[in-house]
Amino acid sequence: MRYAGPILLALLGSLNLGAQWGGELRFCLRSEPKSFHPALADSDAPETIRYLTGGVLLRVNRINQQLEPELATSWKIENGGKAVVFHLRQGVSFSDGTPFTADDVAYTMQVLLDPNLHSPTGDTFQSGEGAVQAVVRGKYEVAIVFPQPVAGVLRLFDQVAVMSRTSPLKERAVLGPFRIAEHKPGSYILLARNPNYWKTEGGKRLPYLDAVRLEIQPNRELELLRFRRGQVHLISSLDPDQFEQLAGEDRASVKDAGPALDAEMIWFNLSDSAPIEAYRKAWFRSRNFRLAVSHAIRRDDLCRVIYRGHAQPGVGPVSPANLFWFNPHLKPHAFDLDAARKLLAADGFRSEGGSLRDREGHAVEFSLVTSAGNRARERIAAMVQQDLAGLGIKLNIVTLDFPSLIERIGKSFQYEACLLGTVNVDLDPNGQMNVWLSSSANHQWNPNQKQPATPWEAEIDRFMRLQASTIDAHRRKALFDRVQQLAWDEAPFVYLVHRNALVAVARSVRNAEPSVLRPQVLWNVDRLWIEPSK
Amino acid sequence: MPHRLLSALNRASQVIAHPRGALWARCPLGPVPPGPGSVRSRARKQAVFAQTITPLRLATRAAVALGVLLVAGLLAATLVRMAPGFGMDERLLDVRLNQESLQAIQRQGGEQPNVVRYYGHYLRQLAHGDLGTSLSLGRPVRELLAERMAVSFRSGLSGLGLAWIAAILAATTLELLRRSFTEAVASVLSGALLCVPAAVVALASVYSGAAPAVAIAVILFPRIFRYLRDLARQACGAPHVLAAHALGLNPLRILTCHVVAPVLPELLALAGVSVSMAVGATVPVEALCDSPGVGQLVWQSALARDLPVLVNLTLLITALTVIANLIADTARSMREAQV
Amino acid sequence: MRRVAVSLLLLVTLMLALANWVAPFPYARQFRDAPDAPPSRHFLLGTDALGRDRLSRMLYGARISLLLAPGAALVSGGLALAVGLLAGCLGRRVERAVTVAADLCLSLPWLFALLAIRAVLPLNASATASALSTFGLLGLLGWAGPCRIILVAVKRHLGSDFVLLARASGCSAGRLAAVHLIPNLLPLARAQFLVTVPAFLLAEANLGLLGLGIPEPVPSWGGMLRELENLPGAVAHPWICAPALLLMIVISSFHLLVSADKDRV
Repeated sequence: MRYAGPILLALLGSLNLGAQWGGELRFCLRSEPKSFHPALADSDAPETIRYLTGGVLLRVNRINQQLEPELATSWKIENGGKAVVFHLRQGVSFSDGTPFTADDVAYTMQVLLDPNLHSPTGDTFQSGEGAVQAVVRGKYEVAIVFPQPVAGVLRLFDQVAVMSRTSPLKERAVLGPFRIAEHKPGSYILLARNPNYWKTEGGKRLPYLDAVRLEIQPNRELELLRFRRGQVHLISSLDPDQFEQLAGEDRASVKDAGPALDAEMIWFNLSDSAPIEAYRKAWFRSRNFRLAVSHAIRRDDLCRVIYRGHAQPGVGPVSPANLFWFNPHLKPHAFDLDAARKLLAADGFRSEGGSLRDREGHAVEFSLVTSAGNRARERIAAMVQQDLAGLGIKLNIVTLDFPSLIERIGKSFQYEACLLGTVNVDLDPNGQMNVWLSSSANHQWNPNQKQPATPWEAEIDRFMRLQASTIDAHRRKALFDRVQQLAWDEAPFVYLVHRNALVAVARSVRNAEPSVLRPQVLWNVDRLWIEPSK
Repeated sequence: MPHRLLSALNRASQVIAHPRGALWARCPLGPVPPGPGSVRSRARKQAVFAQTITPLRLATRAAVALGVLLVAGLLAATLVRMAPGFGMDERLLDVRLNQESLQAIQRQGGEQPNVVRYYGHYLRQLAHGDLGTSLSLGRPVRELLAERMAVSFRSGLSGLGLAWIAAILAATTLELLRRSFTEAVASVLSGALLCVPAAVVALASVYSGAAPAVAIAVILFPRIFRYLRDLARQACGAPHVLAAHALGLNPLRILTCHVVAPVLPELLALAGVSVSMAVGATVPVEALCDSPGVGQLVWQSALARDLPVLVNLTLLITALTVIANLIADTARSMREAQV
Repeated sequence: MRRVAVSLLLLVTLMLALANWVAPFPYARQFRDAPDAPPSRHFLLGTDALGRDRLSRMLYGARISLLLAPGAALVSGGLALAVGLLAGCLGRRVERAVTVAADLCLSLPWLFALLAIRAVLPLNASATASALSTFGLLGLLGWAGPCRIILVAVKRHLGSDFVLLARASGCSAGRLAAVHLIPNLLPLARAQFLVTVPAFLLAEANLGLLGLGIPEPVPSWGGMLRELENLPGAVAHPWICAPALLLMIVISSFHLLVSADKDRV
């Protein structure tokens, strides 16, 4: 009799655990996707839709970060890393009934790698000279052949949604759990269940949900309002303020999944063609100056005040969220004004009447550009401003709307320092290739260099190229650790914070297991179900 | 009543005696006309109307309006083209893209280096009914406008209607009550409404579950109300209205025949002006309420420096402004000809 | 009513003028251990998200906004008066040209001009310079609306008996404008000025909401009104609304002043 109560409860609980089929999951997209073409997905909104609709050969598990088979049942690396052979799942068909074969994979790769398409995913495949080819070896076997051995290429297939070669619906015929049913521009996108989705549960085809409705809602306050009213079921990447508000109301509906891959950082303009005074350029080029700035910033305060504790002090290009690639030997630059002053004194800077002056007597004053309307960045800038005043540096904050900002940092180089965030969708360091190679246009602090401007940049170039052509993952890790160490020593980017992935999920949504990787709550969307309201 | 009549007559004589006072009485939308119960006959009015609205005059005005439209389009194109960040694409910061793709995106962005040439091309397309293609959304502008016009038209028009009804009700009530205390309260309340930023009104409307039209109405109401209140005060203070009151005529009849009728052209003019006010209020309301209308499109395309969309939108807004002011001017010149 | 309005405005002006002494703390000072603090003896109106004293920021912010908005209103009012006068006096063609210009001015996307001004300013220009440029442009662009009204008034005066009499007695154009027209237009210009000041304050507030206002850490009413975006927060912590309340008092006083002016005539 003693156990009757718990047993009864457990029985009731297990009855309650039975997943319910049907229902509509609703959440907000913060911008309107420009295109539904899966190869052209370039930002959060289209990537979310691609995740919900596209079927891929391999999937990166969002929790353990390991590769898992999806439409490919098995794969094999051949020819010393120059080819990947996929064996495909049989008996799968697209949402319109068209059967899925190796031809479709070859066609998808052909579209993706079309040099005129400018697909972000396609471009990451073509890291070196020569063309990448897809060779059909049978109805359910296909080989992707690279001109030279490429490391870490498998995880790229997580972003390749297979398209049908023969379906009249073109890219609207999908293999993922949902298909696009309706789109009202500026208002919503409605996804309906894919009746032919290949995954099953208890003999029934997944997903549990009948539909997903994506409301286009750029305003975060209104998104929160809709969540509170039960009009949407989840919010990915909540603001820390909103997180705290919701936590105060109903703790179970919010979750801090830990530090995400993204980082906020400051960098100085080291470009030769920058139209700024020579003496300022000299400051920015001084390693000691950059390190002193980094040591003067109270990262703990940034995390505590702006992110309400939901952030970690920034360490380097890889966030602690990246389980394999993060270099655990690195610690954030500590707040240490004395160390900062020593570094500055070594370069001839001196303090005069509360203001810092360089060797020639110029007062140290520079501007920091950042994106207007981003509340967190505006606040970070204001806090860094006060922190640098501690060294006698006068910082002027200039907020610009995004196109103006891109023009300054990418084209005219009319800026001195910039505060911006990186968005990492890729765990592998090859995804950051264009950030670190000195010849790249996205080598933000000094892009498009013909020759590496400094020995340490040459060193980073060498390590990055080397790791990209090394197949052994642990050797690659050692090489990329060196890159992280160089970035820490030279501080071309002053990393500030890695913000945590904060999500809100309505209590009625079951099976939700938020991850720090995108799409945080939706990664197991085919298994999410909604408990009908009583 | 006799006391009030006397003071009003006094005031009227002051108005006539002092031009400075006369100006106040006439501000802001034109003179307070004499009562319609005076000497004018219907035939005379028709003659005035015929004189004011000749086909030639109409044609000239239409031509000028067209000219304004063309210049507005060109100026808008120049402003957008010269603005910082034109041709910049967020994709340029995508670290996954390789050099060739980045260059191709940059080339796409800088496709229209010459504004005049672009505008000429645009006008030629326009002659064939083609409004061009949006750079940021990649869809024909005609399609975009067609699907969004209805939403904005509905919310703008109902917002305008609501604001007018509320303003008329408030102005009439105040006129019937005639208390200096209520007058002050109304003044403070409408003043307070004027100081709430449009964006906050928009957010509040969403929080309270009200339609965007209500937010537009709340933004427009104090402005329309202030004008209406001025008009009503002037019209009701006119000697003939006071005389009518003194004679004991039905207040409703006084309102319709002796107060509203003479200021009708001013009301028309105000209606014209309020249309452009509504256009101005629609942008922040739709941008913040995420209502898929033209206002939201204005904001999105401004952020994206979407030249084709912005030129078309400027033409649309200019057309609305010009038409509204054309009606206002015609009403005013009819009035002047009548007086 | 007029007395109430004037005394309220005087009180606010006095507080702002003495902000340096009245404000408990410098506006940019961050008390990082007390972000979003509720009102207390230390912080009378609480603190903002970075722990800056809201009362001090409100006083300084109001000072900047209340100095610049009337300045901009003066510019636009003066422009409207000058253009309206010229257009009214110089014949139908000029008048039409001015009307066309006003229509254009009312419908062009001036947001891009604001962005361009921001871009042209040197990066290390002070916050005051960028605020000045924002308000300056508002002032330069705000002439169109008032000008239409002034133009009507000018035309009406030109047809009136006293102007006819002046012209018949050989009064020169300059004297006509200086002695007979401008004094009669001044009350109208003043009324327009009083209406434009709040409009500009709000324009700055709206630009602040859209990220184009006065940059950090300099406070402005626009920036502080952005806190209202979180409406439930504002309801739960009503002291956030203090800047909005002060703005309402100032603007209502301005309006009372205008309507009291009208009653007096």
